[in-house]
Amino acid sequence: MGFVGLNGAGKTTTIRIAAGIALPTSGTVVVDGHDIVEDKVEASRSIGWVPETPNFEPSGRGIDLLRYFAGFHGIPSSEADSRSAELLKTMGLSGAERKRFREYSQGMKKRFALAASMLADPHNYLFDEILNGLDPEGIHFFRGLVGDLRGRGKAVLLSSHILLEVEGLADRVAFIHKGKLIKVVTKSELSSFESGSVRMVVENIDERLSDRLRGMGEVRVEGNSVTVSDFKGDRAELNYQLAKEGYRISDFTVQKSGLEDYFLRLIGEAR
Amino acid sequence: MLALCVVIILLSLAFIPAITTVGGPSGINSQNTLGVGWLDQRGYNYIFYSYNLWGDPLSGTRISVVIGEGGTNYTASGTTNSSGYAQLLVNAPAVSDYSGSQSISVKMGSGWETSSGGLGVWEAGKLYGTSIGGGGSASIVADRSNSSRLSLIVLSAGADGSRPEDYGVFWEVGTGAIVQYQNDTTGMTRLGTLADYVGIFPVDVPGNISEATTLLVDVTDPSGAVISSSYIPAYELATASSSVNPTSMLYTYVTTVPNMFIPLLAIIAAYSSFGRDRVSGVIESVLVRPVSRRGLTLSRYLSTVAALSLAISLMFALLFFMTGLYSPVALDVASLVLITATQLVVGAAFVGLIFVLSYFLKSTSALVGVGIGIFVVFGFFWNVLVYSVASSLGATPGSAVYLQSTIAADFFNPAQLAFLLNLYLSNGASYGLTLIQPGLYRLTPLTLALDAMAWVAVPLMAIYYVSARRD
Repeated sequence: MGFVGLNGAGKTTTIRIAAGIALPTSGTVVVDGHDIVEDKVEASRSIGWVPETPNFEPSGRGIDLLRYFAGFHGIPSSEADSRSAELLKTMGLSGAERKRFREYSQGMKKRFALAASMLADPHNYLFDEILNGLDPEGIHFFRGLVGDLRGRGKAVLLSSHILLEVEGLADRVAFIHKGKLIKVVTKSELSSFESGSVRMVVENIDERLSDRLRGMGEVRVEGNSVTVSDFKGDRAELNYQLAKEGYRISDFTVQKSGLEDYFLRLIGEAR
Repeated sequence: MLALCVVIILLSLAFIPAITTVGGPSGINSQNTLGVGWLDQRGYNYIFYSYNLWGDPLSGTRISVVIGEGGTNYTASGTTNSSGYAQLLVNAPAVSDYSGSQSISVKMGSGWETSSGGLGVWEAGKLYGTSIGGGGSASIVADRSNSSRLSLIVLSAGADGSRPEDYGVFWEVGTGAIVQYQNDTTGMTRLGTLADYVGIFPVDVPGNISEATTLLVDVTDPSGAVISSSYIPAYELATASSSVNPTSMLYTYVTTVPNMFIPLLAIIAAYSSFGRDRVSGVIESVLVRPVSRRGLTLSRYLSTVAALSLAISLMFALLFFMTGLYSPVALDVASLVLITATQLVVGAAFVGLIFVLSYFLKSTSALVGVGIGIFVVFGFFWNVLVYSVASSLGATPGSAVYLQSTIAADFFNPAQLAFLLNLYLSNGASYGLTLIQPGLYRLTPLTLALDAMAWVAVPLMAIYYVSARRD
């Protein structure tokens, strides 16, 4: 699930509460049937969390940190050694096992945090702005990772401002604004959303047409192409009327909104 | 933490030799006066010698002699010169019976010390000892080069007050009754010859001093006739050669010097193990794991206290070992265990305080700053605070009410727990003013134990509460 909202909307706070890092002022979060406040230990077994800014003991070495965390999950030390090494290798951190965390680059820190979140192979993953700071290779890697997690039936909550990536990765997208959840849409609902933009290619375009269309929305003319944004009106009726008036329309398309457009509209309505 | 323990131990290495030399024998005053007198046609003559711990002359000591007879007081007074001597003449008629009185006053520091008694009947041509505070003209001083040894100081003069020449000094240490004012020196040991009014002679005081032990000192003229006899009672010998002062100093060190560092150690330990991780956010990487908030905090608290306790215990064990090797005095095991336990409580209390503060202060500078502030207030400025409060209530330092205020206030300062314990164990001797009955000041094993438990329990309960209720 994608989790989007403006800055300060409450995405990180929500994820921190769900991860058991922050205490809610009211309400609670239930993870796999366990209350994150009242039954934190059990709930935490099902959670893997990657914060926006990974923060681990700066002087700790990568492999040692993972071994340390493995202890909390009851992973035996021998298994912890092998699992830690394997995770670091999977995350592309081979050769950096003995490096101290403070020596990692921003991208390496994110990858390390991912490895730490996957240590106990939890059912649920909470990724907070995980795409920030990742290079294109990192983003590509992450796409594959999420796909793999989805394939294994894991639940992933991903917050990000890179809406294009969220749109590509998420089955559902939740919108949060001023601390409140305002909408949850599925991918199919999102893809079927039609924005208010209409684009026409008119062979005999003239000023009269532009003036007429201005009453229906924002008009942009490029040669024979006319785009009306925030179109208000009946598209089919317009097409009919224009044809009746003698305009020769060679192309008439309704532009479908991306998540960005949907998001902006939704936020605009919420305000 | 270990580095700070090493610092304390190094301080001990410097201190332990010092306690064998600083102050010397504690039973000897820093200012003393001997006196001898004789009677001639002018009246009662006196030579006084004022001296310090080692027998060195003290100038400027004011001395006053009052002889009372027949309802009349005859007075003479003077000041010792640069050689420590003062010669006085009381123009009083000779007393022929035992109705006369003699009062000798010496200004000691800011006060006067007076010795009064019957004058007796003085014979012309005889020398009489008139030392302040006791009979005779001999006393004990510390050896000039070895403060753990004693020397005998003797004041004498010719019958006419002339400077002694070739006078013999004899001594005898006896137990049970020694006949005083013997007329011969049979069985006595000759210490040397008195070639001036004052002579100092090193002596070896036996180690098995009892209440019955007495040191007898005779001075003979060139013909061998005893012209003066002085005895030094056992209590003066015992206090002069005892190690009370070094022992007191050692206990005071053990309860005060580490006390300056242990709160700081505890604050540093708590910050390193928990506070820093909280303010930096590193703790969150652990908190997301299957661990309860309380469990995480309490486990860190317990491990910090355990590590600190180990370091403190090791430090005191090494201190005990080193004092056994190098110090003339030893630490009593039971007392040391109590003192160590007290310091563990101090450590736990300060660790707890920092843990609790970590939930309310969100920056490193704030947490470190407040931690240092707590250390400074509790460790150094506490007495200033107590003074301010006690003074506002009308009590001045050195008074019983001030002591009462101090003790009452110290129950609210974990850093003063060791001081309270030492005060209890020493019956107030560690306070340096006077002995007290600790129970009168609510200083009992029960109150000390309750205070110690409170200082561990209260921060722990606070941690238990805030760890589940605050981010």
